[in-house]
Amino acid sequence: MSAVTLENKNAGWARLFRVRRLIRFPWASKEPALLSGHHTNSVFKNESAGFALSFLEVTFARLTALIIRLGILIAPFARAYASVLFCDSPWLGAWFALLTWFSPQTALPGLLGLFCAAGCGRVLGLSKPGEPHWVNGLLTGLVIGAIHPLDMQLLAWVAIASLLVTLSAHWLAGLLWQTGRLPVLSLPFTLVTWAILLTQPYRAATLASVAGQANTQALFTPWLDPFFTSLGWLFLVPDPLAGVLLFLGLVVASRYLGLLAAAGYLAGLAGFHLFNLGDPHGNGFNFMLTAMALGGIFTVPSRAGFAFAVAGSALSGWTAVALNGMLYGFALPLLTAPFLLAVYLCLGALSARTRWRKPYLNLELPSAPEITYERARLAEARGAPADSLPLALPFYGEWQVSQGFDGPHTHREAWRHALDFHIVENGRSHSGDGASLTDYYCFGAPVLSPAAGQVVLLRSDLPDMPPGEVDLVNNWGNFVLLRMGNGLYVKLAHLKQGSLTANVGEWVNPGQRIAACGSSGRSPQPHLHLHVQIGEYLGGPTLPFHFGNVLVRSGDQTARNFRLCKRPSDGDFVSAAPISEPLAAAMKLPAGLSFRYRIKTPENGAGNTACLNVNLSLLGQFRLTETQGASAAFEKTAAVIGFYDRQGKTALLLDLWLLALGLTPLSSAAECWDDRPSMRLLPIGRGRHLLVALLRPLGTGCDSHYCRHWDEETQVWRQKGEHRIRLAPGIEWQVHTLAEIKPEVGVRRLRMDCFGQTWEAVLENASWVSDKKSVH
Amino acid sequence: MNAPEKILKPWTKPSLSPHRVGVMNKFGAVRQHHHQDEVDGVAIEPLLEQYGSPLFILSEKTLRENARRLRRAFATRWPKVRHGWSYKTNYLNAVCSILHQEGSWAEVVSDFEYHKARALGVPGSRIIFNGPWKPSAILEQAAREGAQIHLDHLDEIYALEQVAKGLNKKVAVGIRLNFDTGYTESWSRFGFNLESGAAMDAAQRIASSEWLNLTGLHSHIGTFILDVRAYAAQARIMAEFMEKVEAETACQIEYLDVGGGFASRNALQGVYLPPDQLVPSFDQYAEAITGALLEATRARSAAGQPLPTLILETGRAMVDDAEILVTRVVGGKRLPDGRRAAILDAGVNLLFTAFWYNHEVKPLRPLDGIPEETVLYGPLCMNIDIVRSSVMLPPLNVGDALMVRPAGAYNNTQWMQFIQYRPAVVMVTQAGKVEVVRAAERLSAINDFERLPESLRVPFPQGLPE
Repeated sequence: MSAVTLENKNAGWARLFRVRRLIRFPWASKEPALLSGHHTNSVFKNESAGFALSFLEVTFARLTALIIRLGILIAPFARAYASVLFCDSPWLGAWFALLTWFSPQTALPGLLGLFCAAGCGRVLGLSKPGEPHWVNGLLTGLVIGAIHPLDMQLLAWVAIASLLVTLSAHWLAGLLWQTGRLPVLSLPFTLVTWAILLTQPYRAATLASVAGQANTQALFTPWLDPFFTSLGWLFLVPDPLAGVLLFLGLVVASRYLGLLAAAGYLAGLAGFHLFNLGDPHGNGFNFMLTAMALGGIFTVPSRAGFAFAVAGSALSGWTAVALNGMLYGFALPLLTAPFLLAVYLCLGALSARTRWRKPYLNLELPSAPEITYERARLAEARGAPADSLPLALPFYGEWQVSQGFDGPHTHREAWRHALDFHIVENGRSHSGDGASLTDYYCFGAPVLSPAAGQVVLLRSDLPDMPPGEVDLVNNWGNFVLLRMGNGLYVKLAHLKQGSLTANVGEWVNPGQRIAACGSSGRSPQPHLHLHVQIGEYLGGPTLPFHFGNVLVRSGDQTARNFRLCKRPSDGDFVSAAPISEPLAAAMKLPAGLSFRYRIKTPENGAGNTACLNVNLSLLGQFRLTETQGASAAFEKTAAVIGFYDRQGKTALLLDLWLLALGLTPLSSAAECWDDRPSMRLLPIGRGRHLLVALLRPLGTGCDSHYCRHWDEETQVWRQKGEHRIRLAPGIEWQVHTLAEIKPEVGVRRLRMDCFGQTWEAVLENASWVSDKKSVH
Repeated sequence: MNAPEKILKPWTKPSLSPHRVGVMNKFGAVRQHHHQDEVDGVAIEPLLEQYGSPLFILSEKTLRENARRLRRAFATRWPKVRHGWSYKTNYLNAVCSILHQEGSWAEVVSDFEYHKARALGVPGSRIIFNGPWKPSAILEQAAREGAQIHLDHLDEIYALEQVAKGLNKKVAVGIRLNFDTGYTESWSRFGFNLESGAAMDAAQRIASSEWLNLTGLHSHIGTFILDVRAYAAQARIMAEFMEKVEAETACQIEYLDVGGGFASRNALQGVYLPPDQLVPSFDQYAEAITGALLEATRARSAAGQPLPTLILETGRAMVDDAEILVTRVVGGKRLPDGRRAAILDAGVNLLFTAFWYNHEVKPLRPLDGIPEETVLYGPLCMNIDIVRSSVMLPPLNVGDALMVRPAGAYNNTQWMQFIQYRPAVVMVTQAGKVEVVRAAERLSAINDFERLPESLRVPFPQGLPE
């Protein structure tokens, strides 16, 4: 055999294996053995056998590739089915699509409607998977199938309806978003279907005929069946068995949505029966959808959200009665109108709130309740109050809060969101007897701008009052009022006479020295007053605020805790966490960087390798991605790097990284801090995960405590995490993680000890993903 | 003739003492008239009984308070502040460890001090290495361990360059500067002169080096500086030089080390005002230095460039008042000029700083009698051994104990083993316990290092001399 043919053959094999790697054979892990076997036996010793094997494999690979390509093509259509019940998985969608064939008479026009809507969208240049016209087209098709016999006319009707749906969906989506950031949902479907029905003279009879087709055979009990039948009605398969199978699919995808559906159904039924003693017939799904939308999708799951969802469902029950009365004259079915009306009423009203209150709306990024809850849980655990404004500390060094929010002296009523600071050393704020202003440690200390803004108002001519004396005419004393970019104002008061360095109209940066601490105005002893207010005048009502990246210790402690967000309370000592440049450089994760780690797991002692890549998403979000596609977003500021929004399948390396480094302050002065990473990150096995899924359907976090110290001997920062999981009384797990961060290298080693087993990842190399590789 | 019997009185030398009304003068109370019998609540007399006289007594509480005061004064005025504990001021391990626990780095000036810091567990990366002579072995160790090395002269630049080359490691260094602040005498023997251009030459030389990286500037304008304006000038000049270096070379200056020199609450000889009125507080020094720095770095911070870390090497003002020396009177005499004199069991061998300070001397108990001018002599057989050449004290008896303070700075490092054993140093801890931090010396402390040739073992081989 000539060298050339050998090379060609090898190239062919290489291509094959690349295909295999792409499509992920179930035996992919055996690949190296196969490869070596091929080299030693198949080609060099037994060519014909090699050929047979290669032919079979190529054929199989091509077939599989074809199926996968088909799958990629089909997936968006399947997703349209899933999104009827606010889910996203194409597998679930396929399951729903399959179930619609309980009633082939509607299933086919439904599919047709979906294809037509997609086609219309494509022709009109509006098409994008996930756009609202797909699912609306599907629903319209299903209903038209129910009222029209299967003939050519039906095809025409479906085509016309799909076109109308496509047009109206995009128009309505824009309109609703602009009016109140409201989602379009199935409004186009309802409107278009009504329009179609109004042109059909025999509409009432045919709908009744569909109802007649309903499987009245009891499956469980007369109490339980209507629930499943109602769910079935959503896909025009009014069969309790179909309903059960639909519900099963829903529960597998999201237990919380299943719970909401059940609770919403009961509440809606109650609302319905309050005014109407009849049967809601096929309209029960409206109550479920309302609860799912209000409690799971468009608000952050919480107790308040659940109550809100149930109340909304009850409202939809009542709207069903009202609309039924209205539409009776037109002989139009309710379709999803009660759901739409209830959801628009509730969301529209809530989005008009001016204060951030529970239930928190989630209109911009609606997603599965589990994802939304995880985001919100992490945000809450990291201590960013939703209605609080972040500021930088207005001073150098460590100061003590002498009066906090709702303080006993002056922080009352409209001015209750304010902080007073002074400097304390050995429990005293002054040296000597404190009779002179200069005895006070804070007197004359630099005051920095806590935010970027423009100086709009100031006064600096008032004398500093001797200790114990106050100026009640000019309560605020010398002050500076800054207008921030968000239109709110921040005020620093009781400043030292003549110490203001900024002028009115000047722009200042956070951290810029603008004055000195004094004792002017109502100030019995030197201190600094800080608050955020509304309006460009003295004494405007105040708003809550907090500080970012601070070291905090309470009055009686010496240990300083790093806090990502903190509103210090009375007696707390706060100082800014100084940024450690080598640490910040070591944790630098620019887009395009790739880390390869060798992973040792309890099952696999020798270890294989895995890669983490840093990607920049379309929306400008940095994400750390493991090769399998699992990823987590991260945000890096000058002072901290934090990971959140973990998506995708289990990925050991990524999860290990997130547990050990989920929130990493870039200040070497930050020695300990807390975080609450998701429980799903733990490699605890299927059984335990199932237990978690049952006990905490929305997922939960670990109580994680991190400590970090510099190890001189090995020249690394050792960041230890102690994660406690309290699932239920008596069920408590503990996991330990360790991350070693080496200057100029990065995260050198990750380790986790969990249930007596150890997982370890050691950095092998860090490199830039080449253009070629990223294409691949 | 029988002369009438006379009563003979012992003749004493006439002496003149001013008539003092009360204890007031225009500066307030007379300092020496008080007594003090305890340190942080621990009685001193029993300590003398136990550990012998003389005795050094350290106060952990005072030392920690000083460290925190310094940190608070500077950290509330400048974003990044670091303190390097000047080992030469007092390198008792206990003192160094307390300050390291308070977050201070080690500031050393010799291989001995470097070894001492390392032996205490201070990592090389937390050592500031100053001094005009750094032997090559220790220079290599410091470069290897990542110490912050401050170069003093061109030959040292060449030497360190060779060391770095040998280690195959780019070494970050600082240079020591000297210049005229207008308020103090320029210590031109240390570092590179700014006015002559030598400093910029050195910066250029380092910037062009393959092995060195200039990251810091250091200067030390002098010692016991009472005028804070000198520091303001120093900070301004150094910040200006930083801008110039960064403009002319590719170096990025990360820190400005303003050295030490803050005065302690001690009375310098020849200074009229008492220290309480003369010595600036840490806050005043801090205000002067950071005020000048903020002014000089205004453009820099407006441009969003990082501000340099401010490094302090405060020694004297940190430890001086945290230690006292207690000594007993061993004898008294009247000098020919009429002054009273007392001989103490501690002299300049233990209190080296007596050469330039008028230490405060307090009895441990209230003494009877009219205070009069007294000379306090040490036990050395040397004319210069004077603890105080003139101090107002009541008559002293043999065995009376006196406290000499402040005595924390330089005495435990510059003390002499001259004809005497050096006494114990004890520390009153924060918890009120007393710990010996340096035992009293015995003969073996000296003899163990001596080697007597075999032929000299017998002192009188021919029998005892007559």
